[in-house]
Amino acid sequence: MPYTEPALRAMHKAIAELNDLLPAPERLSTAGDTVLGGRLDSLGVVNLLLALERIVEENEGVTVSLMDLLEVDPTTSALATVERLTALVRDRMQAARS
Amino acid sequence: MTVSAQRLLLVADFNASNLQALFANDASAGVTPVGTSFGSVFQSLLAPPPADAAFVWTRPEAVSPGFAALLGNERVPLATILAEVDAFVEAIDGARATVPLMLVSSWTLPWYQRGLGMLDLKSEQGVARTLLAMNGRLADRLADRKDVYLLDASRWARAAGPRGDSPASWYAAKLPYTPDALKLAVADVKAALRGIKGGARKLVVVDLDDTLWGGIVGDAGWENLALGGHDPKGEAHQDFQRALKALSRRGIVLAIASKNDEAVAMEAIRSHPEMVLREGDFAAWRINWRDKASNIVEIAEELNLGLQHTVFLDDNPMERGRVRETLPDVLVPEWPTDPRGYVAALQALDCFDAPAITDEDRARGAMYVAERERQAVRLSVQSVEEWLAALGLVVRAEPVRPATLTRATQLLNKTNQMNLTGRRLTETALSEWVAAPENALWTVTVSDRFGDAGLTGLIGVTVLQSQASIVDFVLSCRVFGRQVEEAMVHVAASHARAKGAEVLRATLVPTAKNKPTLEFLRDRSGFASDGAEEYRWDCRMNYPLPSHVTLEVSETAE
Repeated sequence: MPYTEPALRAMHKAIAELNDLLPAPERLSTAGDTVLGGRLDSLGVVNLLLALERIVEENEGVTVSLMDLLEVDPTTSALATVERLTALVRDRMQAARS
Repeated sequence: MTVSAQRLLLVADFNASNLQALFANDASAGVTPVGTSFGSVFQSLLAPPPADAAFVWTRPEAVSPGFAALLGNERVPLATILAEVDAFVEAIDGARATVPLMLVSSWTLPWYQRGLGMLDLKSEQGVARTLLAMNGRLADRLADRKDVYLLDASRWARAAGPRGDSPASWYAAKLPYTPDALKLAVADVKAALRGIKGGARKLVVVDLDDTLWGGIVGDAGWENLALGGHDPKGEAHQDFQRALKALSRRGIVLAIASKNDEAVAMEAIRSHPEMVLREGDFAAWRINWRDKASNIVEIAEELNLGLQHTVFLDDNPMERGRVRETLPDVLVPEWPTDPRGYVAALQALDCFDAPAITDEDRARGAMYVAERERQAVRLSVQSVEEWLAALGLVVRAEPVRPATLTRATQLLNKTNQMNLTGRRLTETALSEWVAAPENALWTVTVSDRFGDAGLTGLIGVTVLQSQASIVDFVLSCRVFGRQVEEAMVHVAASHARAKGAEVLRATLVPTAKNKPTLEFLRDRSGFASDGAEEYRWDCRMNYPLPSHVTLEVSETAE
């Protein structure tokens, strides 16, 4: 699918950026099944989403907004795992382009 | 309070959680960050929790309600805003009673804030014009505060680029800056703390071919080097030399480690018409075909500077890798492949940050050149005694005074080898120690016929009834081995005796680097030993002054 690779690259970079802010035991793997929802605190979620928005804009020239995810249950929504969040970013990049 | 243990208080008018996390996750920062409630800057400054240092980072509109109103294009007299800056300074002053070291950021605006546009620097109500005045006022008011340093936040914003300020993160979590901007601030705070602890780099060892100049001098000849002229490469190399020269004027010593024929390379340095750095700009050089790591060790030993104070610059990644691997204490920065990036790479290094630049710092390069001449005389005479007599050594001791307190503090915190206890104090703490009636602190300056080494020694003595103790015995390695040490002990013993002390004690606190102090006490001082670290002098006896030393003690010293 288009935007799968760019979304994945952005996710990896955002996780690397987030990991700079997390204590060593809490750092995230970039593996798709890495659980996010319920594991990151609220500031961690905000930092990850802000990093994703910024990196997508810098690298792909596409503006996506992810702040609506702050309103939903992180354990069941797109925030549940790295894979689901990456898919959402991909879909929003596609929507923004279309 | 010492500056070695670092509990760093973070005072900000925004959510500083990410800043706190960056400090906490950076082991090399050596600090334990302590957060405060954001939005309560004045409250935090007026009643701060105990800390060794504080980093105060505010937005101008948070400190000055007048400036906030100005941002809304309300008319506000500049005097009102500057009075609010003064109130902020008073709050900082209040915090200093609890927090001995304050690092304060200057104020910036996000790049998209254009204020009054083309009138912004012309109109008295201009946002940028007012901010300039606010920063100027803050800098002026803080300039004479000991242990308070204003850090340039505009550089963080410039380096982080247009996305360094983030409205998105402000609205999401009251985070006005991205992690990239925060990291630059953390790096500057770390550099400041390192400098205050005496960890600033003092020596730059530089390669020649394709670093100091373009081309291989042994192949091309000095006439054909890329240096100056009217081509980008030549101009870049010449500007790099100018940047090194500027560094040397603030006290950083320059040396050369190059794989070359020495005669050929030195001819280039002496003869090329556009060479900025000449022979007299380098304190030492090793130009030969040997391993550069060994050469760097030799240079550091010759200059009595530790490898932990040394930086090595070389265009060749293999040489950099070799030195990095062999000498992990030497800082070997990555280096641009294009000489047009050399000046920026050099100027961006934060390893030279120091809390003060004294006259001694500025003259340091010349002092090393004088030392080279001094050593040349040593080789020409038959004995050490003859050499010492030929130097015409003058040692001046005078009580520390406000004008010398900064240099004295710097010396105390930088000196490792000839340092009795290795204690580190802020300028304020040292001043308070001196103020106690039982304590006395002399600064020692040393000169000879080759030049003035400047303020290079400290002697601190406490006298309590019949017992006197040397508390600080500090001497720059630049003047070791000329019996300045004995002259300093003479000053301490004379003072103790004049105050009625019967015994003068020196208690060594061993550190990783003060073995020369142990060797002096044990082997040359004449003190009796009460154990490996305890030494004493019977004050009923005069402590002899070395015959070749002319000692001048200030009237008020006794």
